[in-house]
Amino acid sequence: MHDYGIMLFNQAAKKTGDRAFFMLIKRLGMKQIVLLLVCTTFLFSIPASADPNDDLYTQKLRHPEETSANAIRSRALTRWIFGLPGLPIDLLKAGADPTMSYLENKRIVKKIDWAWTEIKKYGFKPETRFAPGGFRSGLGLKIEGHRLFKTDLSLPHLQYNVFGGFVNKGKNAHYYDVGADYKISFANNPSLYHASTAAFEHRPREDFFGIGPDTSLGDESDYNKDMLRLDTRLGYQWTFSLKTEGFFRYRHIQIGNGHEEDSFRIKEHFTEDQVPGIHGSNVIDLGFLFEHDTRDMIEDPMQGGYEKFEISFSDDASGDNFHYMNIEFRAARYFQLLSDRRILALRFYAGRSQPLGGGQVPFFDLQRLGGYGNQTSESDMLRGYEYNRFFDQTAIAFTPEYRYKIWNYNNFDADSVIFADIGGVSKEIHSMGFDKLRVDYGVGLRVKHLRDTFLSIEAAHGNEGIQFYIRSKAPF
Amino acid sequence: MKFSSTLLGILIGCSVLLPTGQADSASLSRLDQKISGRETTFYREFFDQVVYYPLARLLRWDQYITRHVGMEALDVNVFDEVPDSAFFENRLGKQSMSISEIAKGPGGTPPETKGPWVVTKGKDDGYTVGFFIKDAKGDKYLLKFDPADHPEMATSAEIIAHKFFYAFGYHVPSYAIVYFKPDILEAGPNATYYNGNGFKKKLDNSAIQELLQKAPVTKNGRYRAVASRILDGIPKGYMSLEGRRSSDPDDLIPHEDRREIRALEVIGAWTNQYDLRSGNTLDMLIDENGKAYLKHYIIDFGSSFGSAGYRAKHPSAAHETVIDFGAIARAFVELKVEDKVWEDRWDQNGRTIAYQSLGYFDNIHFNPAAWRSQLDQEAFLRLTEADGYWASKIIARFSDEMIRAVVKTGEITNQEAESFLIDTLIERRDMIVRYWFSKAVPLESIQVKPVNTTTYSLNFEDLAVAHGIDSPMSVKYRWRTKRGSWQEYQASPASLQLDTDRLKETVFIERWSSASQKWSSLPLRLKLSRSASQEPFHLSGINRGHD
Repeated sequence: MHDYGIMLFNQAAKKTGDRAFFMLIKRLGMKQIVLLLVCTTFLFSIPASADPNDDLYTQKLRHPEETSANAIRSRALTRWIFGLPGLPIDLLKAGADPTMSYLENKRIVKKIDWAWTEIKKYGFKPETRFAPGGFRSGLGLKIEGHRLFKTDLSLPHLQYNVFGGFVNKGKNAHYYDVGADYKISFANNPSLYHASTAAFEHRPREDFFGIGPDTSLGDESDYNKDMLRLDTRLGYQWTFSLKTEGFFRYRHIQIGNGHEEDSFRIKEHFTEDQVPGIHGSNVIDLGFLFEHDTRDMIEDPMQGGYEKFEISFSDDASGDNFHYMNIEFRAARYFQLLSDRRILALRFYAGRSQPLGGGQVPFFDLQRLGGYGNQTSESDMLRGYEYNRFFDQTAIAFTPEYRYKIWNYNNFDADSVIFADIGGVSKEIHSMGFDKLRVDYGVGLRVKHLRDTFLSIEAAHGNEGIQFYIRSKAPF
Repeated sequence: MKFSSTLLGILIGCSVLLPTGQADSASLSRLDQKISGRETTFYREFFDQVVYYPLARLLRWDQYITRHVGMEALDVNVFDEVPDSAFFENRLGKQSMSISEIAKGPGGTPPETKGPWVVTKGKDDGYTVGFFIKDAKGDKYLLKFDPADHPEMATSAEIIAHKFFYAFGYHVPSYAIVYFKPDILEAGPNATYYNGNGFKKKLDNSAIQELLQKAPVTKNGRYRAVASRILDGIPKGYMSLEGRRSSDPDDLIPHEDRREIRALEVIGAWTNQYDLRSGNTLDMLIDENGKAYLKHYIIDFGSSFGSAGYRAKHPSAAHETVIDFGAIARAFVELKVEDKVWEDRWDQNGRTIAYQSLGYFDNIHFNPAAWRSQLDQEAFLRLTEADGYWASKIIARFSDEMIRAVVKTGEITNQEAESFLIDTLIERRDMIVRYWFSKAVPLESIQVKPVNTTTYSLNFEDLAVAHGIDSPMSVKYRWRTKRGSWQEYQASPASLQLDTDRLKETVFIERWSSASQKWSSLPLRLKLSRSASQEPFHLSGINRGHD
């Protein structure tokens, strides 16, 4: 029998009438109540019988009492009683149902889709921004001037944009960035291009734990970084997947104390000797990069890979003793494991900030590990550790990530990911050893539309705890 | 004292146990005032079935227990059949229907294709086009078209499936395929439509022609559409597949406990109509033979077979609900070491569809027990063996010729696709029937006749044998009375020895087949009664369920 207690209660209630039943219950002891329930059940739950003349499709129900007013009231009462724990969810439904109907009847989603397409047509591209090391998200906007003004210059491949973004990470912690850039492809040789960028970034709460592989979480400090960046590049697109670029860059960087209440102030906790560049600097970079990208789709690669090698020489323009070279190599490969529903993604990174001519490397240009950055200027390796957790002159990192599809419907997909990050920093290349490497592992969920990740939720565990992330893109 | 109170309670109970709530002869206008219209939307149902109910079900232990123990439907009669009602009318299940009757469906006249057709309202969901029209006679129809890259798919699905649902016993509107020249469409004076961007616009003749460009054109330059006649009566909105409409005096049983509503899942599995939800139902207040009542229709069959209406079905369709948390959790835990069966199948097909006019439909990996509609419904979760058997025995009555005749009315140009659909439906019918017949004791036409005062002969027809699922020699039966021991025998008729001292006797029958190699787990219970001890017993009840 199904839930016997409920059934007995129902049977009794509907047979005896609610009022009489409850009056009776008030007066009776437990034994009598049980007896009453049993008696009513066995006396009145006998199915109806057909007469000899009834045909197979007779209207005579097996349990005609189930259509009685009392039975209906009893069912409603049972439903009400058992529905009580779900009352908060019912309230959610009460609000959501009319909202859902309104959205559909007024074609709100279509209108939003239309508006989205229209503003993109005019060059407005909304973007998301995330504060590093937190859940706070914000908005950004890129305006493609050549689309907005429908520019028809004699140079057919001129693109120019302005962009900006904002994230509120709490009191006195408003991250923002603004900038503009352009790119010109030459008419007589479209593979050759020139591009420039001017950008300003305000980052009021950047984490810092000291320099070296063995820094302590207890030294957590934060700093404010304002950076003006002007760069100009000359590049050549050799093939669809291969390009080289030379660049010249000027950066004006101001470092101040951060505003995190439960962290040290960087200038109060560290000295200039311990942390070169603690007061900022003006830096000039001259560099070259090589990029080979064979990914089938940048937002959600399933095969191919990329390799990027970048070398830059930097000198300060403000009398500090900063002379150094930065060398970075990034590579990623994507393998389908018998199906495009199972992807093994591998990422490798090696970087070296080498002082030159007896100079120093400012801390803000050292190699960094820790966190899950959303922008290129942010540390984005070792997800099981805090953002900016490790700074030093040498860094190495490796990530195997297994991505597998757990849901798919029309243009929407959801992937689950399991990953491990292995990486470490050291002062010298030769001092990098297994003892310097940190390991973390984690799981995540990525929801995509047309293979473009719009929600990534990840949790990573390292030996210093668990880090959680919500982002709008995959890390690589 | 206390015991006497108990008895008093029972007596009070007896006194109030009177059937109430039967429909009175309320006039149409009175009912019209009493029953208000209502509407639902796909978004709303999506939220309810994907977010609300999964959460609510975790907290509703009564429903959980009811589902898992198997609470039988409440609208079945003493013979375990579903009597005719505003929800259902026994057709093929009750009597034989000719092939032409089956192929005709609910009938109704299509709009006159000479025109003109005045468009009163447009419909554009961004994928497919539709128009509400009024023909020269003043009759109103809804015209629906195929998606541009799947000519004939949605229209043929609508035509074929609605005839199966109708013959099965559901109330459905009439649908007909029409071919027409675009110039017979004329925009009505107040016609509006929502354009593809979601904005309401005035519908003029140029907008009509523009909308028609989204529909495929036939070789002779005509458009093919399915015309659905607007139902007679006063529309009152959707019929919820759960709960009841309390303002309807005839609606006394929760819909999830109505067998014909639960059985939608079985006929849904056969026709692959996965869009079975409240939004695809319609309640019409009508006056029939002087009685006003709310008639419950199942509508919109364009998502049957391989069609999803606006496109071909997604490969996961009918294997998983739109967001199937169980399947997602399994895939997550299993790390996708193995692909799902539907993914394998999709890959084997080269991720392509064989017949554009059919969509994605076959029987490979079809499992009658695991078939899923697009959204979960409480009624489907409550489907019991008795409900499934009842539905499958009606489906079993669709002969190969009937299926062939109905599919022909879908006017699928590609003969290969048409044959494939016929073969698939025949095979799927057999799979469904085989599955559900194995879950119950499939004995019908049961007769109990006295041989003498204590001995009765039990005659029946074994449907599994009749349909060739089992051979007569591979099955055997056993019966017992409530206090008796099992008596085994091979075939009908059996000889029953009944207790003449009793006015009621219950006979339990179980069936064994060589295919299953076991006795059926759920016995068929026959209730035999007599009015007086001198009278012979007669069959007074059949119960195939748990209670």
